[in-house]
Amino acid sequence: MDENGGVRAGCIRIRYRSPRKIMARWFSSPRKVKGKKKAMAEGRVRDCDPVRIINFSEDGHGVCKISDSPPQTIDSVEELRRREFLFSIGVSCYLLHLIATGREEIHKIVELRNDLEKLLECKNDELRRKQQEFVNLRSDIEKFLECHNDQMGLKQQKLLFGAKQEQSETSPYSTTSDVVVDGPESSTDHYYSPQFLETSLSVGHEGSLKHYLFKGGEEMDQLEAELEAEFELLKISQDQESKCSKLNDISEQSEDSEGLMLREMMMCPGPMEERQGVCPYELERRLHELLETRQEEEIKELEFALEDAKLRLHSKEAEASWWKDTAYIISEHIPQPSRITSNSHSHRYPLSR
Amino acid sequence: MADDKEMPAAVVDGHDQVTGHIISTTIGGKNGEPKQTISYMAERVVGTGSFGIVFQAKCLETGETVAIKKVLQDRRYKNRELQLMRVMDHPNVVCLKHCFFSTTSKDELFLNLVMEYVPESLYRVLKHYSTANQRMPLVYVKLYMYQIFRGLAYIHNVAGVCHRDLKPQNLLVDPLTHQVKICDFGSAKQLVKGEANISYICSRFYRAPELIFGATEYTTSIDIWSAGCVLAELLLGQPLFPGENAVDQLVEIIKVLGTPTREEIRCMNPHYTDFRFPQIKAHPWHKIFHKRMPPEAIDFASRLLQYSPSLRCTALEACAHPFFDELREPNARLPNGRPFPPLFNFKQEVAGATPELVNKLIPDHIKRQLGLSFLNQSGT
Repeated sequence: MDENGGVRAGCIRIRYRSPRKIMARWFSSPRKVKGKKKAMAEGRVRDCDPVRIINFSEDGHGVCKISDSPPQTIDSVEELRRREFLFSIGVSCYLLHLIATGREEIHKIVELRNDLEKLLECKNDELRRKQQEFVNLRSDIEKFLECHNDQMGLKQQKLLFGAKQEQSETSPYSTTSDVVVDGPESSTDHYYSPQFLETSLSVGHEGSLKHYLFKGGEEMDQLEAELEAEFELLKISQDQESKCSKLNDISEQSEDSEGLMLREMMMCPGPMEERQGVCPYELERRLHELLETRQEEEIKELEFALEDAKLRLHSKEAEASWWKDTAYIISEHIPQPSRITSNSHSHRYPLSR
Repeated sequence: MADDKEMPAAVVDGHDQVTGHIISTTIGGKNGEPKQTISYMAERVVGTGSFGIVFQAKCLETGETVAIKKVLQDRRYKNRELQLMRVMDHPNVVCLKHCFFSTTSKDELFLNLVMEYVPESLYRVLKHYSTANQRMPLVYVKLYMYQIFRGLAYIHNVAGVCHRDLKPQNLLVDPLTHQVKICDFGSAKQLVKGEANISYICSRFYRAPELIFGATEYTTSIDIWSAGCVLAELLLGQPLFPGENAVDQLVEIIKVLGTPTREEIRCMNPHYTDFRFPQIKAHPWHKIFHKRMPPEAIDFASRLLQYSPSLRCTALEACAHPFFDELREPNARLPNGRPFPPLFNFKQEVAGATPELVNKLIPDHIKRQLGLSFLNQSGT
């Protein structure tokens, strides 16, 4: 701007620099805005970036001084109007562009959130499936125990009535036939603990699953084998030694000194498994636990990432809505500059349309 | 050692209390040799275990400090440790100086193994660094590990023996020269192919997975696994696989290496191949150590800690690994400017090695000193 208040191209260029500055130009001079809209716009601007706007008001002399300048000729007013109009279009385009890019970003975040939700759902399903498997396993065992106890109840009845002792039961496991013949009292070395048998006996005799009793021997064997594995898995077993020893029946023969043997045994104190290799069922159980822990950790991490993504999304949404509102306000004000300038020759400070 | 082979030289009246006692024994006296009396003044107990005790003693005749390992001797058997130690002669294996039997009032017979005294163990050195909240400087890790593998190469290839209890407590370190010596051959055994051996050997943190799986036909590669665990411990400042029991130990290994494949299980113990274990993903090696860990250190650890015993490198191959290249540089020295202890005076341990391997093992500047130009030619 020159000394006479004439607007130079350079000054105008300064005015087009950024939407914030443009807005500052609009709202820093409240006298140009009227009534309700003025208050609203001021509110928005205050919320958004007051510091920068004030800064601009301070150093953007070229713009602020327009209202202070003396009345101009019609030519220069026309020129000003034309430029104001062009400028408003420029601002609108820029705002639209900003809104578009903001939207794209929001879309991206929404997609990310959806992906994360899917992943989380997937993990949850997996966990639920595993839990279901576990529950099924447990119910299988319970069913079998009931059946087993029913069977025992029958056997005991038979014994009571003086029936002949049954020879070579269908089971290939001598342990099972021991239980059948000797009853729980003599089963201290047995795979199942006596306490367990007692409790299961008390819940037996309901007959709900009696059909198990009449199944063929082979099926029974399979059931028993499965049960055996499951018992190990659930750590119900009281005596793992006998199971694990099956794996490793090769004994040390080459040691030539008992003292050495003794020493070596003392070096690795602890359960038999330390000396004969780990119990595979115990290892399996521990690895399942480890897997579960790792999955839980993974889920926690994903949940954290999801939370983080949500927060980012919210902030972006807030930003986007702010831009929307700003755009709305700007659009409301777009026709105004021309009126301001058209009235400027009659009113120095136009306050109403 | 010649005198030692005439043992038992004497049966000494011993006492249950060790410290402050003087133990006298005679050596020689056979084939016209004059008898010679040696007296040891017991100074302090330096180690106890299920095997017996180890005490520091001073030879009154020579003023030399020795370590005496006193173990209960079963009269029916020969002591395997004694038999093995008699044949060992290597700068990285503790040296047996002499041995004698002693009795107590309860008529118990004890074997006393008189060995060279080395004041520190790798365990104590490690502890020193961890109390100071520091990591062992990499040059010492290289120096110690190199000597351990050199000692193992000798034990495995020359003596044909498997140590079976390699751990920081059994690796002695001279704090001045930084020379490392493998000790405690109480669990060691000459492994014969096709013969079963006990699997409940080796201390838990350092047990190879095949031992935890109860394998009985293992090889000297169990020592390589243990050495790998020692390497990781020196790099990390704490045991890599700190299991609380056998299963836990295996779980700790699986956490790092992942669930072994069926083939790997077959290599360790075929009895376990029928079991389907849950699949745990391996933890990448570079994430186990700190960020600035040199890649050759990580590569070295991964080559030692393999499930399949046959895939673990041999002790001599380990010595040739690029991780130890720094030690082979012409002007390599200890941080205090002193020279390294002898590292390249190979003898029988390289006997069966390929020329390429020998070429890698002996640095050029040593070859030039020894005038081994033929090795240069064969290597190029």
